[in-house]
Amino acid sequence: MADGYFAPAPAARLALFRIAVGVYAAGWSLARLPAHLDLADRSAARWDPVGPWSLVDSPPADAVVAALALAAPLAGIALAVGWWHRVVAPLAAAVLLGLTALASSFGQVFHTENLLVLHLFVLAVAPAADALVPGRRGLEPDAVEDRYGWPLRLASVLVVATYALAGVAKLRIGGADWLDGEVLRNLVAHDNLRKAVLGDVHSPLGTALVGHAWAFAPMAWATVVVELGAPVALLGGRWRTAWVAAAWTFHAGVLALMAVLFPYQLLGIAFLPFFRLEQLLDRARRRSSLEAQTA
Amino acid sequence: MRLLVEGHETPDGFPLSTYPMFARDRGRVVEVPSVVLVRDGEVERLSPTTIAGTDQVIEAAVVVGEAVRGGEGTAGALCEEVLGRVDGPVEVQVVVERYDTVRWAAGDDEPDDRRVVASCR
Repeated sequence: MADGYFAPAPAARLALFRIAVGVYAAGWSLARLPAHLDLADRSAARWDPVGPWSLVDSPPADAVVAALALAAPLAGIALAVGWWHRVVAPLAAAVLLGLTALASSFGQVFHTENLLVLHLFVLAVAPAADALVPGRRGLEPDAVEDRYGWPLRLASVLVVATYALAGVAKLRIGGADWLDGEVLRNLVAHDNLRKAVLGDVHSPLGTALVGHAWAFAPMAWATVVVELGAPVALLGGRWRTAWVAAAWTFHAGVLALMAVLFPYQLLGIAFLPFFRLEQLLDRARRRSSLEAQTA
Repeated sequence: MRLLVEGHETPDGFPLSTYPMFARDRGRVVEVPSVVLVRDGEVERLSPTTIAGTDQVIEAAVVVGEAVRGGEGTAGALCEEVLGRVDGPVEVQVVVERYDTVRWAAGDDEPDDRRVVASCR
């Protein structure tokens, strides 16, 4: 990696990541609150538990479902604020894991919130509230120490591993044939067809593109290059920026062609660990100082 | 790593996953199980919420698929469940429809074949 896995980082960088993930977790779980509360109505016959729920033979009681659904946005807010971080952060990770795993325990495993949950567990064991916590005195956001660096490196490695595994899976399951574009074309067509048949929103653009078979081989290659090429992001600098831009574009393409939304990635939260977030604070301070001087 | 050494697809999990989505070829001609409303002879599409009580279309697809694989009994049970969610004197059908996905994408909306697994009114 460009700076070495254990290279120090400013406390503010880790704290900003904490705030971003906490705000996202709160917003996402609030937007999904009605759907999460509806999990209590799922038939026990569909119970196919994953994650921590694998230890449980039947769906949790309605009160447990409601508690998780209502606690999740509060946990996200509490994480973002940073008070009692050593208690709040593990709790937030546990609540979001419980909730997202529950949603995937009725016959279909969803893959849109894996990184959110993994990042929450990184924050649960990281000193992410040593800066940018309202009301706390004596914090040093500019303090640069090893212990603020490794959590962000770990979060970055988790992002890279996620995409690399997806790329490996495509070639392992689909073989080299996945690259000729026909598999991707069939997947885009099938996904949009199924959505239309089952009364859901589908992509007119993706549907129309199915008629242009030539377009899918380049897209298939681009997909696998982005996924298997994810480790270059750990080199930092232009490699990092280029890969993040490519990965974001990939998700924009998935949304445009298949109406499949990965909000954690499209909002950029997933990729924050790669960047020197404290530069945002530095710019704000400089702007504030300049305004004070000219006032 | 299990994915790299095993010769078959490993079960998926959460939050640790092998991310197998979009890896397997579905083929050009596919059969899609669904639940439809038949009103005045016309077929109407139902939402995932009406079909399976979820806003997630893939989950609804899994529910219908499992009901169809379970045979007339389970398909019939799903039919009755959906009937309870719709209004008016209508017929609900659990069907399997076969499509050529490329022709469908070109605007040919009608399935090549529709097989009714269960119906209720």
